[in-house]
Amino acid sequence: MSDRTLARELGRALDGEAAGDEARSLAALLTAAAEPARFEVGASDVNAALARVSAPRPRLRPHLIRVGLVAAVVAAVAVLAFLPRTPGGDVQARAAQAVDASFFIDVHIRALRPLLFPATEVNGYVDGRTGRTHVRIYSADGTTIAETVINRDGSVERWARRTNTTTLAPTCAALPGGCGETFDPFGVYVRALESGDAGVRTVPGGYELRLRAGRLEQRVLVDGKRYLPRLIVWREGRLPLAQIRITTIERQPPQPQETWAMSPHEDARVLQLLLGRSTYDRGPSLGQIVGLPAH
Amino acid sequence: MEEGVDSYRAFRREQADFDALFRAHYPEIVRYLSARLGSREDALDIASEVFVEAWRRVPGLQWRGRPVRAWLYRVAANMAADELKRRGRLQPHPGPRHESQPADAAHDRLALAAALRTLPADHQLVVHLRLVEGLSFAEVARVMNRSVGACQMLMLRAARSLRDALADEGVRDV
Repeated sequence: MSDRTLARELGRALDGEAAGDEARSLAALLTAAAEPARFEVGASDVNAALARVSAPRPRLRPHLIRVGLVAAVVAAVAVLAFLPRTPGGDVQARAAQAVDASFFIDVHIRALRPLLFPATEVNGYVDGRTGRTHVRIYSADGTTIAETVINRDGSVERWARRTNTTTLAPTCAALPGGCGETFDPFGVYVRALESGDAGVRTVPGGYELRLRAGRLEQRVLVDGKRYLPRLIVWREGRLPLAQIRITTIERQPPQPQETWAMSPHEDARVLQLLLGRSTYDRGPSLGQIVGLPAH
Repeated sequence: MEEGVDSYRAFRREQADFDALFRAHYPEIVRYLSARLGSREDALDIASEVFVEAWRRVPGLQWRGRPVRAWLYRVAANMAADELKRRGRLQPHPGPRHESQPADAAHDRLALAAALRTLPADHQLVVHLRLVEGLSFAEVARVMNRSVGACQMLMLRAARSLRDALADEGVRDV
């Protein structure tokens, strides 16, 4: 009997299933050897240990959502959504082919200037074909602080934990502050594409794609083997503003409709924004909701 | 994929809720360290150190497809190794040689546990996760970042090593 077969048989013996003599003998030996470690740790011991460990804990800092957060989130996914339309060049063509699918992404966003916005993590699904997006935004302590859905028609749904409000908007640009002028990735990309102001150069391990709009520039590092983005750095002139590191980007099969739907949020208030008109609900603006400064 | 998403959510929950993480995993880390070190008191002390480290570092962990529990076991294993080094116990320490007697089953069990401590750390971990904590091989594989087949092979090697160590010690079959 091969070792692999015996190993599987040992696994069955440990599960209490029928097995040969050698497997049963080895299982009995292992079970007996593990026996002394099978003891309960009482609830009082756990509580006492937790109190000891907890004592020196620093107080958690509140994590605020500031300018750039919402747009930076969308920036990360917009790279996927808009790369296919990046003009010209073999690299763009291959990148377009690479992103022509649905992906599960996990990105880490941090400001490269002090006090711009707190570090966050974003994960969820993005469809490179249509730009459909469903992402959740987490603070550094792992709390879900927002959830954003971008639909096929460009309409946006955004839930913010801080006020437990879901805002519906016809476009990203309709969200005050959420897609602010300085960070609007869609606008940046569209303008960059319209002007043809995009360049590619070879860098170690892949390529660097540069997209400009006025003083703003995005540098996208594209993996040389997979032709998928790894890192995005926003710059204003020579100064770096923010960095978006894509830690996970996994191609997915076609996703069911519910993948792209906003999660239910209990007792959430719904705010409907209309293009060029006041909102149905005269409650706080989204800027106020997510803590953005007034425009 | 749904399982992956669930695992990811569990990872995020454990990152965000230290008390829940502690309550869920402190007892098993104590048991693991107790088996590694042969001392429950030392296990309690070092388990606390593991969770102090967890308090500092778990919120910043990146998702790599493995549960927080895997990180806890890795830290616990490293701290156990440090403690064993500190005690000068790097050499196998199965306890004093003895002549086993048929009536001395408890003694044999202690000899068995001592022999288990002489095995490589990954052998001890697979035995602990599967036989003490009762995880399935699939769950063991996730914690150890190996395939199910590789974990089963580790278990087989652990059993054979244990049998050989006991034969050297003259302990009768269990």
